[in-house]
Amino acid sequence: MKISKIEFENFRNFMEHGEIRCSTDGKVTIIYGKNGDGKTTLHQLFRWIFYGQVHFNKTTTDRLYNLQYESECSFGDTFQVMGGIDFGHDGAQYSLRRTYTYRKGLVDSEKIAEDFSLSKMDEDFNWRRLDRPREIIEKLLPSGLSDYFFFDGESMIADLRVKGKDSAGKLRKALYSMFDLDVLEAAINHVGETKLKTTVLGKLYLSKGTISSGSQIAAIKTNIEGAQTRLERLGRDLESAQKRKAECQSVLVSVSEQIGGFKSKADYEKQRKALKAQRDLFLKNATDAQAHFGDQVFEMFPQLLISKAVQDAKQKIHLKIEKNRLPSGISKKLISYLTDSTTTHCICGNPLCDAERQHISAYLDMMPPRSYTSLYQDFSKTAKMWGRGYDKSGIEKSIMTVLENNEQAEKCDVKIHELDEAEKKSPDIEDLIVARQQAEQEIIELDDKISKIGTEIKKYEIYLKKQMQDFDNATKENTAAEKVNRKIRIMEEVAAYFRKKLDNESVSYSHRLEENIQSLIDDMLTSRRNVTVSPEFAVRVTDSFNDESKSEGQFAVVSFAYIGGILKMLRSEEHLSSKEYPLVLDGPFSKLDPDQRQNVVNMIPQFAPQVILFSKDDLHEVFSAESIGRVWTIVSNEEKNIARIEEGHLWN
Amino acid sequence: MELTTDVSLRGTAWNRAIDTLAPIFKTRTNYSLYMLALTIGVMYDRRIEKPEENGEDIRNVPRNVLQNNDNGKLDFIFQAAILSTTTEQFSEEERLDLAFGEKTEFKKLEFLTQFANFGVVKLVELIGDSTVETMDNIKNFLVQTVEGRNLDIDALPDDLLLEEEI
Repeated sequence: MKISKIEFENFRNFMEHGEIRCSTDGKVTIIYGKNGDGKTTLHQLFRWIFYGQVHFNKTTTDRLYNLQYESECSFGDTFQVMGGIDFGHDGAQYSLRRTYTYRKGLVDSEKIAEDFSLSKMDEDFNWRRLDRPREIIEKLLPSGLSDYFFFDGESMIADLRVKGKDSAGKLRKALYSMFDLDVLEAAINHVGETKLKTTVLGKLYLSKGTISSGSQIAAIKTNIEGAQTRLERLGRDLESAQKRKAECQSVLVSVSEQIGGFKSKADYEKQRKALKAQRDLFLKNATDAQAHFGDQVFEMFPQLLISKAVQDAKQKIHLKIEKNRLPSGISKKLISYLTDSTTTHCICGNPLCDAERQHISAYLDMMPPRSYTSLYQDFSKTAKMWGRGYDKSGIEKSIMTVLENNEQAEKCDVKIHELDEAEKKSPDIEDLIVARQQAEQEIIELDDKISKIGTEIKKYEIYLKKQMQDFDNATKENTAAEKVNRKIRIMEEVAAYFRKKLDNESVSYSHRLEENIQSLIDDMLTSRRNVTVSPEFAVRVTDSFNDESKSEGQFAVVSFAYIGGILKMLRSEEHLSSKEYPLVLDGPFSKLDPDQRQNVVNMIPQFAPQVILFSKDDLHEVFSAESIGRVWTIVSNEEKNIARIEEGHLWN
Repeated sequence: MELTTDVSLRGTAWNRAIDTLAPIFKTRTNYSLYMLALTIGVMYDRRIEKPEENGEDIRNVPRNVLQNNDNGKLDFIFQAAILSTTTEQFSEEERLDLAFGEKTEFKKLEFLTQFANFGVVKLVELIGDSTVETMDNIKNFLVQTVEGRNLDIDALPDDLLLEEEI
C-alpha cells in the first residue's frame, strides 16, 4: 500500500477542506508543524480514517469537529467531519472515506450517523464501492500493528508500557495475518474438536447418532448438544466479562492519570496511592500467612495424628509382642560375640557363665526372622517421637496474622472510600472520582462473575465429557458410527498436519524476525542488547543481566527496530513481497540522542516503501536532499485552534 | 515402599478439597492434602474404598513428588495403619508380617489411599464460608483430635462409609 493523498474537512482544528499529496517514489514525505499546530491531529487522522479510532488526550472520539465550524451552525443543523485517503495497492487504486454526521444541540452536538466506504477504480476508471471495507482494510493494514505503522513517538512509549500482554495478543494476531499464518489457524479452527459442535469434527461426531439409532442415543445426543450450546454461551459471557474487566482496568489507569494530573489534587492522589499500596501489602501478608499456616499444619499434624493413632490402638488391639522387652542396644552381632565359646568375659569385664550365655541367647528369639520384637520396639519408639513438636500457638498465630491483615486491608478500603468522598465535594474532579469508584466496584463484581462462570464452565465440561463417553459406548456396536469414527480419525490427521505446519512456520518466522530486529538494534542502538522473539511473536530485548528496562530513547529505538524488522522481512520473503505497508511517524526523533537519531534516519528508508514524517525539527539537515520528497507545513492562527496545510517548507 | 504409579485422587471430595484448600496448602497442594487426609483416616480408623464420584477429573499425586518428599514416612504410616486398624480382621502374625515382613503382593498404597479417601471427606466438612473460617475449623478439628479423643468422631454420618467398611 502506498498512500497518494490524504484529505480532510472540519477535522479538529483543520476547519477548511485540505489535502496532502504524498511521495510514492520511495522518497520521504515530510510534514512540518510547530508545537500545538496540529501534527498529532493530522497523524491521528490516518488512524481515524483507517480504523475509526483516535487517541487524543482527554477527548472522546465522538467530538472530532472544529468548534468554530460548529458555533457557526444553528440549532438543529447537521454537519459533517470528513476524512479520506487515496492509495494504491497491487497495481490498483483505492479510495477510502470516513464521515461522521452531527446534529447541533443546545449545549453540545450529537453524532447521529457515520459512514465508512472503500472504493476501487475499475478498468474504465470508474470508482466501484467494495463490500466489507473493514475486513479488506484489516487484511491490507492489520489494526494490531497500527501502533507501529502510525508511530506516535510519545504516546506510543506511554501506551506500550502499560498495555503489555494485551498488545502482545493484538500483535500476534496482526503478524499471523501478515505472514498468512491466519489461514492455517482458520483451517485448524475449522476442523476443530469433537466437543465443539460447529466444527467439522464436532459435526462428524454428532452424526454417529441418527434418528434411526434409537431413543437412548438420541437422548444422549440431545444432552450433548444442550451442554455444547450452554458452554458456547458461557464462553461468550466469560469473554465479554473479561473484555469489560479490561476496559474497566484501562479506565482506572487513565482516570488515575488524569486525577494525578491536577496539581491541586496531587496530595490526594498520593495519599490514595499509598493507601492502595498498603492495602495490597496487607492482603499479600494475609495470603502469605495463610500459606504459612498450611505449611505448619502439614509439618506438624500428620506425625502427631499417627503417633496418637498408635497410642490409641494399644487400648483396642492388644498385641502380645508388646510384652516382649528387648534391652536397647542389643544386636545379633553382640549376642553372637557374647555366646561364642571363646568369649570368657562380658563387655563389662565380669566372667561369663553358661546360665548367662543361655539367657543372652534367648534374645535371639525376639529378632528377625524368629520374631519382629526388635522392629516393633523401633516402631514404637518412632511413634512416640512423632508425638513431639506440638505447637498450637504457632498455628493460632498464623490465623491471627491473617485476620489482622484482612482487617487492616478493610480499614484501608474504608479510608480510601472516605478520601474519595471528601474529594468528591471538589467539583473539578468529582466525575473522575465517581468514575474510578464505579470502575473499581465493577471490577470486583466482574471478578466474582468471572469466577462463577468459570465454575459453571467446569461443571458443564465434566457433564459433556461424561455424556460423550456414554455416547461413544452407546454407538460402539453401530456400523455407521464406525464409518464416522474413521472419518474423524482422518480429519484429526488433517488438523494435526495444519497444526504442525503452523508450529513450524511460526517458529521459522519468529527466528528470522529475531535476526532482523537484532541486526537493526545492533545498527541503531548505541548500547548492546539481545533480542528474543517467541513463536507467539512476543519480543524481549534484554541486556546481559536479562534486564528488560529501557530508557525512553532506547524504547523508541526498540519500537523502530520491531516494525523495521517486520517490514524488512516482508521485503525479503518472496511470497510476501506483495504486502507493502506505509510508515507514518509522528515526533519520532524527540526522544533520541544525536547518535541514535542519525542511526535511525539512516535506517528509515530501508523500513518501508513509503515513509511519511511529522516533525517540528528541521530534517533537511539529517536527510540527504535526494531522499526528501514532497514537503508540507501546517500553518496555524495565533490561538492555534484553526489550521491549514500548505505545500513547502515555510519556516525554519 | 516401592512406588510404581502415581496416587490417583478420585471423586467429588478430592476435587473440592484441592480446589478450595489450595490457597491454604500452597506448597505441593495435592501431596500435602493427601498426607494430611491419610493420617486423619488412620487416626479415625476409617476407610472409603469407592469415593463418591460425579464424573470429576481424577487428580493425582505424582510418584516423584511422593518419592522426593517421603523419606520413609509412607512406610511408617503403613506400619501404623496395619498395626492399629480394626477395619480388617488380621491376626497378630499377619499384621506383623505385613508391617515388617518382606511381603510385596499386598497393595499398600491402595490400602493407604482408602484411609485418605475418608480423611478428605472430613477435610471437606471443615470448609467454611471464608478462608479464615476454614483455617479456624481445620485448626480446631486437629487440635481437638490431638489433645483428646474427638467427640466428633462418633458424630460422623454413617452414609459416608460403604457398608463393608464398617
